[in-house]
Amino acid sequence: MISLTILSIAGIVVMLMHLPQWTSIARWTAVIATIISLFSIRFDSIFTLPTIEITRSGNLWAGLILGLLALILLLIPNRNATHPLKNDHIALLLFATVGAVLLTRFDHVVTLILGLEMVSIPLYVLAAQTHSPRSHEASLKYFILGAFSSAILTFGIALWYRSTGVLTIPGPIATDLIGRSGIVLMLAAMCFKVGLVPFHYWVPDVYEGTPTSFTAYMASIAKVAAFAALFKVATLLPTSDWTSLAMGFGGASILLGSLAAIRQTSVKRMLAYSSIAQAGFWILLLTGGQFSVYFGFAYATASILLLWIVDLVESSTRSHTLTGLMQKNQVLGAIAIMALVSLTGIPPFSGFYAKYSSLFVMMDRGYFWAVGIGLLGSAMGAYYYLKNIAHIVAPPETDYKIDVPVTSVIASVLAVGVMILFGLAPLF
Amino acid sequence: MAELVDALGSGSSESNLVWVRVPLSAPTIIIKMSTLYLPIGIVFLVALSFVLISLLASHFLGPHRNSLVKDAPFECGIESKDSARVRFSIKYFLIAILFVLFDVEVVFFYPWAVNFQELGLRGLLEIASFMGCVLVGLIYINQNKVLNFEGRNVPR
Repeated sequence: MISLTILSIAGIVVMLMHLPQWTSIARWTAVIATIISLFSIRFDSIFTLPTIEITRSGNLWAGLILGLLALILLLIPNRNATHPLKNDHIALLLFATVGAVLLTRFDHVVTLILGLEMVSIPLYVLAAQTHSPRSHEASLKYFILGAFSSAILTFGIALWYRSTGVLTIPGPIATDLIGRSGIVLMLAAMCFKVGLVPFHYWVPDVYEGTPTSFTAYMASIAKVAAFAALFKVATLLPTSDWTSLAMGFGGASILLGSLAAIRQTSVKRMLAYSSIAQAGFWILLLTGGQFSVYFGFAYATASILLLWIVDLVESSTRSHTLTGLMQKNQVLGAIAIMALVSLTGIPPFSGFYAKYSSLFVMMDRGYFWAVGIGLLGSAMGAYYYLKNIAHIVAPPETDYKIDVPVTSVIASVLAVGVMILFGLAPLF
Repeated sequence: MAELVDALGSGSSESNLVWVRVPLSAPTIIIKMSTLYLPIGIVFLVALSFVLISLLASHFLGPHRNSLVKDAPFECGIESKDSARVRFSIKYFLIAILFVLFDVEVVFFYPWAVNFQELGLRGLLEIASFMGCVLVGLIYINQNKVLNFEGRNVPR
Protein backbone atom coordinates (compact mmCIF):
# COMPACT_ATOMS: atom_id res chain seq x y z
CA MET A 1 0.00 0.00 0.00
CA ILE A 2 2.96 2.32 -0.59
CA SER A 3 1.07 4.34 -3.20
CA LEU A 4 -1.80 5.02 -0.81
CA THR A 5 0.60 6.01 1.97
CA ILE A 6 2.27 8.51 -0.32
CA LEU A 7 -1.08 9.97 -1.36
CA SER A 8 -2.33 10.26 2.22
CA ILE A 9 0.84 11.93 3.46
CA ALA A 10 0.71 14.36 0.55
CA GLY A 11 -2.90 15.09 1.46
CA ILE A 12 -1.98 15.85 5.06
CA VAL A 13 0.93 18.08 4.00
CA VAL A 14 -1.27 19.99 1.55
CA MET A 15 -4.00 20.31 4.17
CA LEU A 16 -1.59 22.00 6.56
CA MET A 17 -0.36 24.58 4.02
CA HIS A 18 -3.03 26.99 5.09
CA LEU A 19 -1.84 30.24 3.57
CA PRO A 20 -3.63 31.22 0.35
CA GLN A 21 -0.40 32.17 -1.41
CA TRP A 22 0.82 28.58 -1.10
CA THR A 23 -1.80 27.22 -3.47
CA SER A 24 0.58 26.69 -6.35
CA ILE A 25 3.10 24.94 -4.07
CA ALA A 26 0.26 22.77 -2.79
CA ARG A 27 -0.82 21.94 -6.32
CA TRP A 28 2.65 20.91 -7.40
CA THR A 29 3.16 18.87 -4.22
CA ALA A 30 -0.05 17.05 -5.01
CA VAL A 31 0.89 16.49 -8.66
CA ILE A 32 4.34 15.15 -7.80
CA ALA A 33 2.95 12.90 -5.06
CA THR A 34 0.32 11.56 -7.47
CA ILE A 35 2.92 10.77 -10.11
CA ILE A 36 5.22 9.09 -7.56
CA SER A 37 2.35 7.02 -6.26
CA LEU A 38 1.35 6.14 -9.83
CA PHE A 39 4.78 4.66 -10.37
CA SER A 40 4.84 2.94 -6.97
CA ILE A 41 1.72 0.90 -7.73
CA ARG A 42 3.88 -1.99 -8.88
CA PHE A 43 5.53 -2.18 -5.45
CA ASP A 44 2.24 -2.24 -3.60
CA SER A 45 2.21 -5.99 -3.13
CA ILE A 46 5.34 -5.79 -0.94
CA PHE A 47 3.48 -4.33 2.01
CA THR A 48 -0.15 -5.18 2.19
CA LEU A 49 -2.96 -5.29 4.69
CA PRO A 50 -5.72 -7.73 5.48
CA THR A 51 -8.99 -7.09 3.59
CA ILE A 52 -7.03 -5.85 0.58
CA GLU A 53 -6.06 -7.90 -2.43
CA ILE A 54 -3.70 -6.73 -5.12
CA THR A 55 -4.55 -8.03 -8.55
CA ARG A 56 -3.41 -7.09 -12.01
CA SER A 57 -6.75 -5.68 -13.08
CA GLY A 58 -7.03 -3.85 -9.75
CA ASN A 59 -3.66 -2.26 -10.48
CA LEU A 60 -4.87 -1.19 -13.92
CA TRP A 61 -7.89 0.53 -12.37
CA ALA A 62 -5.68 2.16 -9.72
CA GLY A 63 -3.25 3.37 -12.37
CA LEU A 64 -6.11 4.86 -14.36
CA ILE A 65 -7.45 6.63 -11.28
CA LEU A 66 -4.07 8.10 -10.33
CA GLY A 67 -3.39 9.20 -13.91
CA LEU A 68 -6.74 10.96 -14.07
CA LEU A 69 -6.04 12.61 -10.71
CA ALA A 70 -2.76 13.99 -12.04
CA LEU A 71 -4.59 15.36 -15.07
CA ILE A 72 -7.29 16.99 -12.92
CA LEU A 73 -4.74 18.52 -10.56
CA LEU A 74 -2.83 20.00 -13.50
CA LEU A 75 -5.95 21.36 -15.18
CA ILE A 76 -7.98 22.68 -12.24
CA PRO A 77 -8.03 26.49 -12.56
CA ASN A 78 -6.90 28.77 -9.75
CA ARG A 79 -10.32 30.36 -9.67
CA ASN A 80 -13.68 28.94 -10.55
CA ALA A 81 -16.56 31.24 -11.49
CA THR A 82 -16.85 32.74 -8.02
CA HIS A 83 -14.19 31.42 -5.67
CA PRO A 84 -10.45 30.80 -5.58
CA LEU A 85 -9.07 27.29 -5.31
CA LYS A 86 -8.00 26.48 -1.75
CA ASN A 87 -5.44 24.02 -0.46
CA ASP A 88 -8.22 22.27 1.42
CA HIS A 89 -9.84 21.43 -1.90
CA ILE A 90 -6.66 19.82 -3.21
CA ALA A 91 -6.28 17.88 0.03
CA LEU A 92 -9.88 16.67 -0.20
CA LEU A 93 -9.28 15.51 -3.78
CA LEU A 94 -6.23 13.55 -2.60
CA PHE A 95 -8.11 11.95 0.30
CA ALA A 96 -11.03 11.02 -1.94
CA THR A 97 -8.59 9.39 -4.34
CA VAL A 98 -7.22 7.23 -1.53
CA GLY A 99 -10.78 5.93 -1.12
CA ALA A 100 -11.12 5.49 -4.87
CA VAL A 101 -8.00 3.33 -5.02
CA LEU A 102 -9.28 1.29 -2.06
CA LEU A 103 -12.45 0.62 -4.07
CA THR A 104 -10.39 -1.05 -6.77
CA ARG A 105 -8.64 -3.36 -4.33
CA PHE A 106 -11.02 -4.53 -1.63
CA ASP A 107 -11.63 -8.18 -0.98
CA HIS A 108 -13.76 -7.64 2.11
CA VAL A 109 -16.92 -5.61 2.58
CA VAL A 110 -15.34 -3.46 5.32
CA THR A 111 -12.91 -2.01 2.80
CA LEU A 112 -15.74 -1.59 0.29
CA ILE A 113 -17.78 0.52 2.72
CA LEU A 114 -14.71 2.43 3.87
CA GLY A 115 -13.67 3.19 0.31
CA LEU A 116 -17.15 4.30 -0.73
CA GLU A 117 -17.42 6.67 2.22
CA MET A 118 -13.90 8.00 1.66
CA VAL A 119 -14.83 8.90 -1.91
CA SER A 120 -18.25 10.29 -1.08
CA ILE A 121 -17.69 12.44 2.00
CA PRO A 122 -15.06 14.76 0.45
CA LEU A 123 -17.36 15.12 -2.57
CA TYR A 124 -20.29 16.21 -0.38
CA VAL A 125 -18.05 18.96 0.98
CA LEU A 126 -16.65 19.92 -2.42
CA ALA A 127 -20.14 20.13 -3.95
CA ALA A 128 -21.03 22.93 -1.51
CA GLN A 129 -17.98 25.10 -2.17
CA THR A 130 -19.79 27.90 -4.01
CA HIS A 131 -22.05 30.14 -1.94
CA SER A 132 -25.06 29.68 -4.15
CA PRO A 133 -28.34 27.90 -3.43
CA ARG A 134 -27.72 25.64 -6.42
CA SER A 135 -24.45 24.43 -5.00
CA HIS A 136 -25.88 23.86 -1.53
CA GLU A 137 -28.83 22.03 -3.03
CA ALA A 138 -26.47 19.81 -4.99
CA SER A 139 -24.46 19.02 -1.89
CA LEU A 140 -27.49 18.26 0.27
CA LYS A 141 -29.13 16.15 -2.43
CA TYR A 142 -25.96 14.19 -2.99
CA PHE A 143 -25.46 13.74 0.74
CA ILE A 144 -28.96 12.54 1.55
CA LEU A 145 -29.21 10.18 -1.41
CA GLY A 146 -25.65 9.00 -0.78
CA ALA A 147 -26.46 8.25 2.84
CA PHE A 148 -29.52 6.28 1.70
CA SER A 149 -27.48 4.28 -0.74
CA SER A 150 -24.86 3.51 1.91
CA ALA A 151 -27.63 2.29 4.19
CA ILE A 152 -29.04 0.11 1.40
CA LEU A 153 -25.56 -1.28 0.74
CA THR A 154 -25.05 -2.13 4.40
CA PHE A 155 -28.46 -3.76 4.66
CA GLY A 156 -27.76 -5.80 1.55
CA ILE A 157 -24.46 -6.93 3.07
CA ALA A 158 -26.30 -7.95 6.25
CA LEU A 159 -28.80 -10.08 4.30
CA TRP A 160 -26.05 -11.62 2.22
CA TYR A 161 -24.02 -12.41 5.33
CA ARG A 162 -27.04 -14.03 6.91
CA SER A 163 -27.34 -16.41 4.01
CA THR A 164 -23.69 -17.24 3.34
CA GLY A 165 -21.85 -16.45 6.58
CA VAL A 166 -18.97 -14.90 4.62
CA LEU A 167 -17.94 -11.27 4.19
CA THR A 168 -15.24 -11.59 1.55
CA ILE A 169 -15.73 -10.52 -2.06
CA PRO A 170 -15.39 -12.51 -4.30
CA GLY A 171 -17.31 -14.96 -2.17
CA PRO A 172 -19.69 -17.85 -2.55
CA ILE A 173 -22.80 -17.38 -4.68
CA ALA A 174 -25.87 -17.17 -2.49
CA THR A 175 -28.55 -19.65 -3.42
CA ASP A 176 -31.53 -18.70 -1.25
CA LEU A 177 -33.91 -15.80 -1.71
CA ILE A 178 -32.59 -13.67 1.17
CA GLY A 179 -28.99 -13.93 0.02
CA ARG A 180 -29.97 -13.08 -3.55
CA SER A 181 -31.97 -10.06 -2.44
CA GLY A 182 -29.00 -8.93 -0.35
CA ILE A 183 -26.79 -8.95 -3.42
CA VAL A 184 -29.42 -7.10 -5.42
CA LEU A 185 -29.55 -4.41 -2.71
CA MET A 186 -25.76 -4.11 -2.80
CA LEU A 187 -25.86 -3.76 -6.58
CA ALA A 188 -28.61 -1.13 -6.30
CA ALA A 189 -26.40 0.95 -4.01
CA MET A 190 -23.46 0.65 -6.39
CA CYS A 191 -25.68 1.58 -9.35
CA PHE A 192 -26.68 4.69 -7.42
CA LYS A 193 -23.02 5.63 -7.06
CA VAL A 194 -22.37 5.29 -10.79
CA GLY A 195 -25.71 6.88 -11.76
CA LEU A 196 -27.44 4.12 -13.73
CA VAL A 197 -31.02 4.60 -14.71
CA PRO A 198 -33.39 3.60 -11.97
CA PHE A 199 -31.04 5.41 -9.56
CA HIS A 200 -29.97 8.35 -11.70
CA TYR A 201 -32.17 11.16 -10.37
CA TRP A 202 -29.39 12.95 -8.54
CA VAL A 203 -26.95 13.09 -11.47
CA PRO A 204 -28.12 16.17 -13.45
CA ASP A 205 -28.80 18.40 -10.45
CA VAL A 206 -25.63 17.46 -8.61
CA TYR A 207 -23.43 17.79 -11.68
CA GLU A 208 -24.93 21.18 -12.50
CA GLY A 209 -24.82 22.62 -8.98
CA THR A 210 -21.33 21.48 -8.07
CA PRO A 211 -18.48 23.88 -8.96
CA THR A 212 -17.34 22.69 -12.38
CA SER A 213 -13.77 21.84 -11.32
CA PHE A 214 -15.17 19.33 -8.88
CA THR A 215 -17.81 18.05 -11.28
CA ALA A 216 -14.87 16.90 -13.37
CA TYR A 217 -13.67 14.81 -10.42
CA MET A 218 -17.16 13.46 -9.77
CA ALA A 219 -17.71 12.51 -13.41
CA SER A 220 -14.34 10.85 -13.78
CA ILE A 221 -12.56 9.39 -10.76
CA ALA A 222 -15.58 8.82 -8.52
CA LYS A 223 -17.34 7.09 -11.39
CA VAL A 224 -14.34 4.98 -12.42
CA ALA A 225 -13.83 3.78 -8.84
CA ALA A 226 -17.52 3.02 -8.36
CA PHE A 227 -17.54 1.01 -11.58
CA ALA A 228 -14.50 -0.98 -10.45
CA ALA A 229 -16.36 -1.83 -7.25
CA LEU A 230 -19.64 -2.51 -9.08
CA PHE A 231 -18.05 -5.06 -11.38
CA LYS A 232 -16.44 -6.77 -8.41
CA VAL A 233 -19.69 -6.92 -6.41
CA ALA A 234 -21.41 -8.28 -9.54
CA THR A 235 -19.25 -11.42 -9.39
CA LEU A 236 -21.44 -12.52 -6.49
CA LEU A 237 -24.31 -13.16 -8.90
CA PRO A 238 -24.38 -16.08 -11.34
CA THR A 239 -23.25 -14.90 -14.78
CA SER A 240 -26.61 -15.34 -16.50
CA ASP A 241 -28.48 -13.33 -13.83
CA TRP A 242 -25.89 -10.59 -13.91
CA THR A 243 -26.00 -10.40 -17.70
CA SER A 244 -29.75 -9.85 -17.76
CA LEU A 245 -29.58 -7.30 -14.91
CA ALA A 246 -26.76 -5.41 -16.62
CA MET A 247 -28.64 -5.36 -19.90
CA GLY A 248 -31.71 -3.99 -18.15
CA PHE A 249 -29.75 -1.24 -16.40
CA GLY A 250 -27.64 -0.54 -19.48
CA GLY A 251 -30.46 -0.40 -22.01
CA ALA A 252 -32.61 1.85 -19.83
CA SER A 253 -29.65 4.16 -19.09
CA ILE A 254 -28.67 4.48 -22.74
CA LEU A 255 -32.20 5.29 -23.88
CA LEU A 256 -33.19 7.64 -21.07
CA GLY A 257 -29.82 9.38 -20.82
CA SER A 258 -29.66 10.04 -24.56
CA LEU A 259 -33.28 11.17 -24.85
CA ALA A 260 -32.89 13.61 -21.95
CA ALA A 261 -29.52 14.89 -23.18
CA ILE A 262 -31.00 15.93 -26.53
CA ARG A 263 -33.17 18.58 -24.92
CA GLN A 264 -30.52 20.24 -22.72
CA THR A 265 -29.24 23.74 -23.38
CA SER A 266 -26.56 23.90 -20.68
CA VAL A 267 -23.41 21.95 -21.52
CA LYS A 268 -23.04 20.76 -17.94
CA ARG A 269 -26.53 19.25 -17.87
CA MET A 270 -25.98 17.74 -21.29
CA LEU A 271 -22.79 16.11 -20.01
CA ALA A 272 -24.62 14.87 -16.91
CA TYR A 273 -27.29 13.11 -18.98
CA SER A 274 -24.75 11.87 -21.47
CA SER A 275 -22.74 10.44 -18.57
CA ILE A 276 -25.81 8.37 -17.69
CA ALA A 277 -25.87 7.09 -21.27
CA GLN A 278 -22.13 6.39 -21.18
CA ALA A 279 -22.57 4.48 -17.91
CA GLY A 280 -25.15 2.39 -19.75
CA PHE A 281 -22.58 1.47 -22.39
CA TRP A 282 -20.02 0.84 -19.69
CA ILE A 283 -22.11 -1.69 -17.79
CA LEU A 284 -22.77 -3.64 -21.00
CA LEU A 285 -19.11 -4.71 -20.77
CA LEU A 286 -20.25 -6.98 -17.88
CA THR A 287 -16.82 -7.51 -16.27
CA GLY A 288 -14.17 -5.27 -14.76
CA GLY A 289 -11.42 -6.41 -17.11
CA GLN A 290 -9.20 -4.50 -19.49
CA PHE A 291 -12.09 -3.37 -21.67
CA SER A 292 -13.76 -1.66 -18.73
CA VAL A 293 -10.55 0.11 -17.76
CA TYR A 294 -10.19 1.22 -21.35
CA PHE A 295 -13.76 2.48 -21.41
CA GLY A 296 -13.08 4.35 -18.15
CA PHE A 297 -10.01 5.95 -19.66
CA ALA A 298 -11.82 7.04 -22.83
CA TYR A 299 -14.90 8.42 -21.08
CA ALA A 300 -13.15 10.05 -18.11
CA THR A 301 -10.40 11.80 -20.08
CA ALA A 302 -12.86 13.34 -22.51
CA SER A 303 -15.18 14.40 -19.67
CA ILE A 304 -12.37 15.99 -17.68
CA LEU A 305 -11.19 17.97 -20.70
CA LEU A 306 -14.70 19.14 -21.59
CA LEU A 307 -15.61 20.14 -18.05
CA TRP A 308 -12.30 21.96 -17.69
CA ILE A 309 -13.11 24.03 -20.76
CA VAL A 310 -16.67 24.62 -19.53
CA ASP A 311 -15.16 25.81 -16.25
CA LEU A 312 -12.85 28.27 -18.01
CA VAL A 313 -15.63 29.66 -20.19
CA GLU A 314 -17.97 29.81 -17.21
CA SER A 315 -15.53 31.95 -15.20
CA SER A 316 -15.34 34.45 -18.07
CA THR A 317 -18.95 34.53 -19.23
CA ARG A 318 -21.03 33.10 -16.35
CA SER A 319 -22.91 30.92 -18.79
CA HIS A 320 -22.92 27.18 -19.34
CA THR A 321 -22.53 27.24 -23.11
CA LEU A 322 -19.52 27.01 -25.35
CA THR A 323 -20.83 29.33 -28.09
CA GLY A 324 -18.05 30.95 -30.10
CA LEU A 325 -15.19 29.26 -28.29
CA MET A 326 -13.30 28.55 -31.51
CA GLN A 327 -12.91 32.24 -32.35
CA LYS A 328 -11.88 33.19 -28.83
CA ASN A 329 -9.30 30.50 -28.26
CA GLN A 330 -8.44 28.06 -31.01
CA VAL A 331 -6.51 25.59 -28.88
CA LEU A 332 -9.34 25.23 -26.37
CA GLY A 333 -11.88 25.02 -29.16
CA ALA A 334 -9.94 22.26 -30.88
CA ILE A 335 -9.55 20.30 -27.65
CA ALA A 336 -13.27 20.62 -26.90
CA ILE A 337 -14.18 19.42 -30.39
CA MET A 338 -11.83 16.43 -30.09
CA ALA A 339 -13.24 15.51 -26.67
CA LEU A 340 -16.80 15.70 -28.03
CA VAL A 341 -15.87 13.60 -31.06
CA SER A 342 -14.27 11.04 -28.78
CA LEU A 343 -17.39 10.86 -26.61
CA THR A 344 -19.48 10.37 -29.75
CA GLY A 345 -17.33 7.35 -30.59
CA ILE A 346 -15.65 8.33 -33.82
CA PRO A 347 -12.15 7.07 -34.66
CA PRO A 348 -9.24 7.85 -34.30
CA PHE A 349 -10.13 8.75 -30.72
CA SER A 350 -10.30 6.23 -27.88
CA GLY A 351 -14.06 6.68 -27.48
CA PHE A 352 -14.53 4.63 -30.64
CA TYR A 353 -12.97 1.47 -29.25
CA ALA A 354 -14.76 1.99 -25.93
CA LYS A 355 -18.18 1.92 -27.60
CA TYR A 356 -17.08 -0.73 -30.06
CA SER A 357 -15.99 -3.11 -27.30
CA SER A 358 -19.20 -2.74 -25.32
CA LEU A 359 -21.31 -3.45 -28.42
CA PHE A 360 -18.94 -6.27 -29.34
CA VAL A 361 -19.42 -7.97 -25.97
CA MET A 362 -23.19 -7.88 -26.44
CA MET A 363 -22.93 -9.11 -30.05
CA ASP A 364 -20.61 -11.90 -28.94
CA ARG A 365 -23.13 -13.19 -26.43
CA GLY A 366 -25.93 -12.95 -28.94
CA TYR A 367 -28.00 -10.18 -27.37
CA PHE A 368 -28.87 -8.37 -30.56
CA TRP A 369 -31.59 -6.22 -29.09
CA ALA A 370 -29.03 -4.74 -26.65
CA VAL A 371 -26.77 -3.99 -29.63
CA GLY A 372 -29.74 -2.30 -31.32
CA ILE A 373 -30.40 -0.10 -28.30
CA GLY A 374 -26.69 0.73 -28.17
CA LEU A 375 -26.67 1.76 -31.82
CA LEU A 376 -29.80 3.87 -31.34
CA GLY A 377 -28.17 5.54 -28.31
CA SER A 378 -25.00 6.21 -30.33
CA ALA A 379 -27.03 7.85 -33.06
CA MET A 380 -28.79 10.10 -30.56
CA GLY A 381 -25.40 10.74 -28.93
CA ALA A 382 -24.02 11.90 -32.25
CA TYR A 383 -26.84 14.43 -32.44
CA TYR A 384 -26.31 16.09 -29.08
CA TYR A 385 -22.52 15.91 -29.05
CA LEU A 386 -22.15 17.23 -32.59
CA LYS A 387 -24.71 19.98 -31.91
CA ASN A 388 -22.26 21.37 -29.35
CA ILE A 389 -19.49 21.36 -31.95
CA ALA A 390 -21.74 23.55 -34.08
CA HIS A 391 -22.05 25.94 -31.12
CA ILE A 392 -18.29 26.00 -30.65
CA VAL A 393 -17.64 26.88 -34.28
CA ALA A 394 -20.42 29.51 -34.44
CA PRO A 395 -19.53 33.20 -33.95
CA PRO A 396 -19.46 34.33 -30.29
CA GLU A 397 -22.54 36.04 -28.82
CA THR A 398 -20.77 38.06 -26.17
CA ASP A 399 -17.28 39.41 -25.90
CA TYR A 400 -15.11 37.62 -23.40
CA LYS A 401 -11.50 36.69 -22.85
CA ILE A 402 -10.06 33.40 -21.65
CA ASP A 403 -6.60 33.14 -20.19
CA VAL A 404 -5.19 29.69 -19.62
CA PRO A 405 -2.00 28.76 -17.77
CA VAL A 406 0.65 27.18 -20.01
CA THR A 407 0.93 24.06 -17.85
CA SER A 408 -2.77 23.35 -18.25
CA VAL A 409 -2.52 23.69 -22.02
CA ILE A 410 0.46 21.32 -22.11
CA ALA A 411 -1.33 18.81 -19.87
CA SER A 412 -4.50 18.91 -21.92
CA VAL A 413 -2.62 18.55 -25.22
CA LEU A 414 -0.78 15.57 -23.73
CA ALA A 415 -4.09 14.06 -22.65
CA VAL A 416 -5.50 14.48 -26.15
CA GLY A 417 -2.33 12.88 -27.52
CA VAL A 418 -2.74 9.86 -25.26
CA MET A 419 -6.41 9.70 -26.24
CA ILE A 420 -5.49 9.51 -29.95
CA LEU A 421 -2.61 7.09 -29.27
CA PHE A 422 -4.83 4.64 -27.41
CA GLY A 423 -7.54 5.17 -29.99
CA LEU A 424 -5.16 4.18 -32.81
CA ALA A 425 -3.56 1.29 -30.97
CA PRO A 426 -5.66 -0.09 -28.11
CA LEU A 427 -2.80 -2.26 -26.89
CA PHE A 428 -3.44 -3.88 -23.62
CA MET B 1 -12.55 -21.99 14.03
CA ALA B 2 -9.21 -23.64 14.74
CA GLU B 3 -7.70 -21.76 11.83
CA LEU B 4 -8.90 -18.46 13.24
CA VAL B 5 -7.43 -19.14 16.67
CA ASP B 6 -4.16 -20.22 15.09
CA ALA B 7 -3.80 -17.08 13.08
CA LEU B 8 -4.62 -14.85 16.01
CA GLY B 9 -2.23 -16.74 18.30
CA SER B 10 0.80 -16.67 16.02
CA GLY B 11 0.19 -13.03 15.24
CA SER B 12 0.55 -11.81 18.77
CA SER B 13 3.20 -14.10 20.25
CA GLU B 14 5.92 -14.92 17.73
CA SER B 15 6.17 -12.40 14.97
CA ASN B 16 5.34 -8.92 16.08
CA LEU B 17 6.30 -7.04 12.97
CA VAL B 18 4.89 -9.40 10.35
CA TRP B 19 1.48 -8.64 8.90
CA VAL B 20 -0.59 -11.68 9.57
CA ARG B 21 -3.56 -12.25 7.37
CA VAL B 22 -6.37 -12.86 9.83
CA PRO B 23 -9.42 -14.40 8.18
CA LEU B 24 -12.13 -11.94 9.07
CA SER B 25 -14.90 -14.11 7.73
CA ALA B 26 -16.98 -15.90 10.32
CA PRO B 27 -16.53 -19.64 10.66
CA THR B 28 -19.08 -21.60 8.68
CA ILE B 29 -22.22 -22.15 10.72
CA ILE B 30 -23.83 -25.53 10.32
CA ILE B 31 -26.86 -25.01 12.57
CA LYS B 32 -29.87 -23.80 10.63
CA MET B 33 -29.66 -20.02 10.74
CA SER B 34 -33.38 -19.46 11.30
CA THR B 35 -33.33 -21.17 14.70
CA LEU B 36 -30.55 -18.81 15.81
CA TYR B 37 -32.83 -15.85 15.22
CA LEU B 38 -35.52 -17.20 17.55
CA PRO B 39 -34.14 -15.51 20.74
CA ILE B 40 -33.98 -12.17 18.90
CA GLY B 41 -37.60 -12.54 17.91
CA ILE B 42 -38.54 -13.28 21.52
CA VAL B 43 -36.68 -10.19 22.71
CA PHE B 44 -38.53 -8.10 20.11
CA LEU B 45 -41.87 -9.46 21.31
CA VAL B 46 -41.02 -8.82 24.96
CA ALA B 47 -39.92 -5.25 24.21
CA LEU B 48 -43.02 -4.54 22.14
CA SER B 49 -45.42 -6.01 24.65
CA PHE B 50 -43.74 -4.12 27.52
CA VAL B 51 -44.29 -0.81 25.74
CA LEU B 52 -47.85 -1.64 24.71
CA ILE B 53 -48.90 -3.05 28.08
CA SER B 54 -47.48 -0.19 30.13
CA LEU B 55 -48.98 2.46 27.83
CA LEU B 56 -52.41 0.83 27.73
CA ALA B 57 -52.41 0.08 31.47
CA SER B 58 -51.60 3.66 32.39
CA HIS B 59 -54.25 4.87 29.97
CA PHE B 60 -56.99 2.68 31.40
CA LEU B 61 -56.00 2.57 35.08
CA GLY B 62 -54.78 6.12 35.69
CA PRO B 63 -57.05 9.07 36.60
CA HIS B 64 -57.51 11.77 33.91
CA ARG B 65 -57.13 15.25 35.43
CA ASN B 66 -55.87 17.76 32.87
CA SER B 67 -54.64 21.27 33.52
CA LEU B 68 -52.75 23.87 31.49
CA VAL B 69 -49.49 23.36 33.36
CA LYS B 70 -49.76 19.62 33.29
CA ASP B 71 -50.31 19.49 29.54
CA ALA B 72 -47.35 21.72 28.73
CA PRO B 73 -44.28 20.05 27.16
CA PHE B 74 -41.95 19.07 29.94
CA GLU B 75 -38.25 18.58 30.06
CA CYS B 76 -35.85 18.44 32.99
CA GLY B 77 -37.90 20.71 35.21
CA ILE B 78 -36.99 23.92 33.39
CA GLU B 79 -40.00 25.94 32.32
CA SER B 80 -40.35 25.92 28.55
CA LYS B 81 -40.58 29.27 26.82
CA ASP B 82 -40.34 30.60 23.25
CA SER B 83 -39.80 28.62 20.07
CA ALA B 84 -36.99 26.13 19.75
CA ARG B 85 -36.10 27.56 16.34
CA VAL B 86 -33.60 30.21 17.32
CA ARG B 87 -30.30 30.93 15.63
CA PHE B 88 -27.14 29.67 17.24
CA SER B 89 -23.62 30.80 16.54
CA ILE B 90 -21.89 28.39 14.16
CA LYS B 91 -19.19 28.01 16.81
CA TYR B 92 -21.46 25.84 18.95
CA PHE B 93 -21.82 23.46 16.06
CA LEU B 94 -18.09 23.33 15.40
CA ILE B 95 -17.29 22.74 19.05
CA ALA B 96 -19.91 19.99 19.22
CA ILE B 97 -18.46 18.26 16.14
CA LEU B 98 -14.93 18.54 17.52
CA PHE B 99 -16.10 17.15 20.83
CA VAL B 100 -17.57 14.09 19.10
CA LEU B 101 -14.37 13.62 17.11
CA PHE B 102 -11.94 13.84 20.00
CA ASP B 103 -14.25 11.98 22.33
CA VAL B 104 -14.51 8.97 20.05
CA GLU B 105 -10.73 8.87 19.96
CA VAL B 106 -10.84 7.54 23.54
CA VAL B 107 -12.87 4.57 22.31
CA PHE B 108 -9.83 3.44 20.36
CA PHE B 109 -7.46 4.07 23.25
CA TYR B 110 -9.31 1.92 25.73
CA PRO B 111 -8.86 -1.50 24.09
CA TRP B 112 -5.24 -0.67 23.41
CA ALA B 113 -4.63 0.31 27.04
CA VAL B 114 -6.24 -2.91 28.30
CA ASN B 115 -4.11 -5.06 25.97
CA PHE B 116 -0.98 -2.94 26.27
CA GLN B 117 1.33 -5.85 27.16
CA GLU B 118 0.03 -8.24 24.52
CA LEU B 119 0.06 -5.78 21.65
CA GLY B 120 3.65 -4.80 22.35
CA LEU B 121 5.73 -2.60 20.09
CA ARG B 122 3.45 -2.96 17.08
CA GLY B 123 0.46 -1.81 19.08
CA LEU B 124 2.43 1.17 20.33
CA LEU B 125 3.42 2.14 16.80
CA GLU B 126 -0.13 1.81 15.56
CA ILE B 127 -1.62 3.90 18.33
CA ALA B 128 1.15 6.45 17.77
CA SER B 129 0.26 6.74 14.08
CA PHE B 130 -3.39 7.10 15.03
CA MET B 131 -2.46 9.82 17.52
CA GLY B 132 -0.43 11.48 14.77
CA CYS B 133 -3.50 11.63 12.53
CA VAL B 134 -5.60 13.13 15.31
CA LEU B 135 -2.82 15.59 16.08
CA VAL B 136 -2.74 16.73 12.45
CA GLY B 137 -6.46 17.32 12.74
CA LEU B 138 -5.89 19.42 15.84
CA ILE B 139 -3.24 21.50 14.08
CA TYR B 140 -5.61 22.01 11.14
CA ILE B 141 -8.39 23.13 13.48
CA ASN B 142 -6.06 25.55 15.18
CA GLN B 143 -4.86 26.96 11.86
CA ASN B 144 -8.46 27.66 10.90
CA LYS B 145 -8.98 29.50 14.20
CA VAL B 146 -11.85 27.35 15.33
CA LEU B 147 -10.52 27.34 18.89
CA ASN B 148 -10.17 31.11 18.92
CA PHE B 149 -13.23 31.81 21.05
CA GLU B 150 -12.80 35.52 21.66
CA GLY B 151 -11.93 37.10 18.34
CA ARG B 152 -14.36 37.56 15.54
CA ASN B 153 -12.31 35.24 13.35
CA VAL B 154 -15.00 33.18 11.75
CA PRO B 155 -13.51 30.01 10.31
CA ARG B 156 -12.88 30.21 6.58
